[in-house]
Amino acid sequence: MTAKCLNELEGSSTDADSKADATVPLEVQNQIGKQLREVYGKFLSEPLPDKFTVLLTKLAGDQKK
Amino acid sequence: MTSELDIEEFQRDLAALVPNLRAFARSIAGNPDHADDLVQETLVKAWKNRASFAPGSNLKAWLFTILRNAFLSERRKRKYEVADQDGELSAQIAVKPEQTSHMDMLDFQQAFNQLPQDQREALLLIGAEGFSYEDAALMCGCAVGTIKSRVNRARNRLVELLGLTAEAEEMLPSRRAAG
Repeated sequence: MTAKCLNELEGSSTDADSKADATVPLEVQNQIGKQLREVYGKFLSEPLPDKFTVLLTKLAGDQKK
Repeated sequence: MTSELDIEEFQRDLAALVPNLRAFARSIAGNPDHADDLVQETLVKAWKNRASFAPGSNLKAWLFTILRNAFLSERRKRKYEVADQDGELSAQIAVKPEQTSHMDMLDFQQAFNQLPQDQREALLLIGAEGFSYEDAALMCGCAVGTIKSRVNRARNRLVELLGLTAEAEEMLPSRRAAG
């Protein structure tokens, strides 16, 4: 139990399976997070085609009738 | 029963989340046209089922769940037709050559695309969208521990693919183990 907790805290273990599951250092986590948000942010800020507004207006319009 | 104000509010709330739905769809589906189809399907389903949405609860999580289910059920159906899967999708998500000045970003995106779908999704929900592990687990219909494990696996794989460890350790001046 204690050993398991320690392994978890240190993010280190011997067998391959737990290694894949191990917690990566916080610094690396932050680095990954930053790059991930950059890529995702690029998707988020893409110009929005009209079709979504048109669809939502149509859905709302159908409802009001 | 639903008042007009509710409808307008719901419409506004949905519209505000379209960019997030598109980004999420792009990340899991790859192809932009396919992603937009998924978003449209999600909006229609959300509208039809809005009575089942509990006001005050997390609308984004609810919408992401609808989108995810639409994606998975589509993929399940398609599995019998073509053995497409991640290979083709990953190739399509790759950014265009004009982006090559952002070498890190390109590398990251390529590495990210190599992750299994469940890991990509878990990492996105936690790392980019900022959902709690609990919300992500609800959305993916699995245990909190499973999400944590997928996120860890995704990070470890990225570390491997991007060779992040060494670089990161150099960036840590006060790392005791290194000194």
